[in-house]
Amino acid sequence: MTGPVVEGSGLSVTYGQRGHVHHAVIDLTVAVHPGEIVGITGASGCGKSTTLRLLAGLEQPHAGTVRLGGADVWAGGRTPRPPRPGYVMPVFQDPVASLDRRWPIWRSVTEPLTVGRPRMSKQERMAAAREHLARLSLDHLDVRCLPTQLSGGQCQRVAIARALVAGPALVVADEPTASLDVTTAAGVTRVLREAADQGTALVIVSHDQDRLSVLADRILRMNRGRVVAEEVLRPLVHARRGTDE
Amino acid sequence: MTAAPVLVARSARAGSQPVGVWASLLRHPSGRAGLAIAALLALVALVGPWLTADPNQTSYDTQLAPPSAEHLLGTDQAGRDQLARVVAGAQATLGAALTVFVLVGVIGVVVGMVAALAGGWVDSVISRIVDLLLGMPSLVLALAIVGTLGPSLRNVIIALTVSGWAYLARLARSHALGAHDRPDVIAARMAGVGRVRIAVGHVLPGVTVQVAIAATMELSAIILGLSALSFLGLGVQPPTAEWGQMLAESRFALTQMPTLALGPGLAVMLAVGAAVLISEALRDVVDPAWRRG
Amino acid sequence: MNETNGVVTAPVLSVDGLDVTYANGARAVRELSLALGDGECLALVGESGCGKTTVARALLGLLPRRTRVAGSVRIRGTEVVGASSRRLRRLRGTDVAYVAQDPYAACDPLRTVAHHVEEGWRAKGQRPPDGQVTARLAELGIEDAQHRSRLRPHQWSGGMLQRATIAGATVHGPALTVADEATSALDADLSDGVLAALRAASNALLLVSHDLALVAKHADRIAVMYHGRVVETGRTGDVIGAPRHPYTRALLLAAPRPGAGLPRELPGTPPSLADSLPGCSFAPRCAHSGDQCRELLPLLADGVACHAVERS
Ligand SMILES: Nc1ncnc2c1ncn2[C@@H]1O[C@H](COP(=O)(O)OP(=O)(O)OP(=O)(O)O)[C@@H](O)[C@H]1O
Ligand SMILES: Nc1ncnc2c1ncn2[C@@H]1O[C@H](COP(=O)(O)OP(=O)(O)OP(=O)(O)O)[C@@H](O)[C@H]1O
Ligand code: SF4
Ligand SMILES: [Mg+2]
Ligand SMILES: [Mg+2]
Repeated sequence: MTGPVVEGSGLSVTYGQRGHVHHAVIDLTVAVHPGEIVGITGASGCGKSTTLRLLAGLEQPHAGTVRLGGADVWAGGRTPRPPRPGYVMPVFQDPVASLDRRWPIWRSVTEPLTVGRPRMSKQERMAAAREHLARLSLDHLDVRCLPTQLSGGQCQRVAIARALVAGPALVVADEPTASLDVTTAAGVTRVLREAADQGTALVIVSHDQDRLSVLADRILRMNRGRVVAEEVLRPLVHARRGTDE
Repeated sequence: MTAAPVLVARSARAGSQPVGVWASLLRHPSGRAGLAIAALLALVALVGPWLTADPNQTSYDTQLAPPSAEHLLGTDQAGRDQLARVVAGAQATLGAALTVFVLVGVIGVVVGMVAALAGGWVDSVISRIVDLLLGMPSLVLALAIVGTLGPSLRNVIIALTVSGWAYLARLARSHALGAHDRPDVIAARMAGVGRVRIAVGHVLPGVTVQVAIAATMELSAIILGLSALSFLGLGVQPPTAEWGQMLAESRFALTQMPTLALGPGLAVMLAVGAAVLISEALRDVVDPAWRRG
Repeated sequence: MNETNGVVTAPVLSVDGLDVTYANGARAVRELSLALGDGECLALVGESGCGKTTVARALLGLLPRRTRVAGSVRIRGTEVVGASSRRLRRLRGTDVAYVAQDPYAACDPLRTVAHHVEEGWRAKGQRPPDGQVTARLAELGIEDAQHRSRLRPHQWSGGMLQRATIAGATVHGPALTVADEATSALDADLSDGVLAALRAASNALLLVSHDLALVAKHADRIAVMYHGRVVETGRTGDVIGAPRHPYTRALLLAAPRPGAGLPRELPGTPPSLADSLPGCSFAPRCAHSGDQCRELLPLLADGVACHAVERS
């Protein structure tokens, strides 16, 4: 049996300027297993995005440890050391800026595929991008478009496609359906669920509790930097994981 | 300011459309004017020498002749056709200016990117050198260098390059460092894309554009610096024609034949004007002060 | 034009036959007409990419260069399409305000949040009144606004920055506010409060939103867009209570319901924006489509553009 994909224990982050100390995350402990979807919800500014950054190894906690795949990511000092390249992938809260504005979207989507693999031709990459974008109902888009030629929700889906394309162990997604209408969000919800069925662990921040309750296996409710409640919706995750191997 | 990487954006997007820079330049009024002048000068430099007389043909019967049908801009002290010399000088002056422009741009981008990418002692050493160079007045520095190396066009190019790249390198370095926290760069890093590939793919294009704008703004200074050094006799050696040096020579005949300075003077002004117009337009086109609601 | 007490007043917003084609040939908005009266709130909803932001930006003259805009947009009687940038600047802030969809992109990363809020006054050549910035932010539920407003945008959370852009946009009590997904990062309670504040600060409100519960609560009327066109419009209660267009019905069915499994999807994708199909653009995805639908464009009649509704 494999251990947790990510394990944070006793995490705290404090931001402070000139006597104004703000505790963004306080003593947070969480473990996420392969194939599990953990939702995080809570009021605006309660520390959800900061928690995601911590779990992704993007921000060094002021206290506590983050273990990705069983190893402390910050053991190496100031640079994070994930178990392998592409182990964690992000979906950022700001969809437009998370794509290189000079790159056509096929390049952004397939960038993770080019890591440590034999060179892919442009044709192959465009085909792969089309295939992955089609799953997010973007097949009517020309993959040579630039991000500035897309709508907010289209950018968001391109970023989701990039996060999933290379089969990461963990995806941290910050409000992945916030700029989507409900029909499009329904498709994205299914795609995220399918990724979990393939064994990817997901941590999803959303203020939309109804959506989290149909998507997540477990929901953490945060308030002022702390996890104040945990709701287990589907305890069957372990069984689901068992069918994988 | 905390330097924590952000999962949410920290974007420096101008919100503009990256449509072709050339197309947008052509649509910009001063860009169009600048490009038109530049095209004219390029045409003169490339085709002109075939249409005009031999610029080095001396004739001691017609020294310092006034403008006439035969010599549209008159002749100089050695009786050489001034128009032919202005046209021939275009190649020397503009060629040298563009060489310096390209050299400072490339060196600036490469050195700035290396400093930002390598960090540590490499960055410290580079930054120290850059600060040192920026602390000196650039024309004085250039003078000192040509003074040491000896007068020649090649040495003038070296001198102007040495004294010109530092500012661009500092600019490139700060832009490259700023890209470190861009969400698209963070995502690439998380995907495992190597540092060099991120630098080349995500960071370099933006840095190049910024440096190109700054270098175009410096182009007018380069042309003037070049003319100044040649004016002092440190650049091209006779009999090669070059605008700065021609201005210097016409100075001796200023009382007898004031029109002699007209050709090279106007040419320098045109070239500088074109550079200023293009750089202004480029700045507008690439980085418009984006209107917000 | 409305007639009140014998005085003819122009509606706050009237959009007539608006057509927007981007430089790459994408025709994002097609023959769109809308009107908004005093004190009214109109919600614009529709699938991602259907052209909502494009409409919003057209109202403010904020579309990229080389975009072709046809038709007419009048704000308080002033034509916006083809207006000079000086006239547009004068309109912005007082007559029409814009809350952009992406707050981080709308902010300069090197300036403090307070600077962005003050921009509202500075754009009109005024000095921001003392304490107003903090007061407005606090009104929208930002704690410790005094200190926080001196931080930079990336030091704010997404939902907080959204509220800051709202505070900045409405400083002059505009006649019309165009709010593009202005509360997309906020939970239901907070969105309610922010929208109430927005309606109080602005005369009329064009609300672009994906949050149907929020729309149901705050909007007087609703316009449903599909592929650049309005396909259904009417009073909010009527449209949400008894949707007539097949797309509106699919939209209302797709909302997630706790305990009901994955939400219902709408199969297929919208046609490309470069295409101009002769008939109804929803036809490939519509369960009720008939021969007529593929050949003849359904026109908006009695608030709905659908042949099946006409037939029944
Ligand atoms: N770099 C920073 N410097 C100072 N304060 C910060 C920084 N980053 C975040 N904060 C503060 O930490 C708190 C938590 O922010 P975070 O982005 O995690 O909130 P959030 O729960 O994601 O909110 P939202 O739902 O609005 O996005 C906020 O009060 C924010 O102002
Ligand atoms: N600058 C542009 N050039 C070309 N096409 C564009 C441009 N901007 C937007 N589009 C296209 O126009 C369509 C409408 O975009 P718009 O941003 O108006 O959508 P939207 O309804 O706001 O969607 P969302 O809900 O996802 O924000 C999209 O399909 C997009 O691909
Ligand atoms: S017009 Fe036809 S295809 Fe279009 S929505 Fe109505 S029934 Fe469906
Ligand atoms: Mg957040
Ligand atoms: Mg939009």
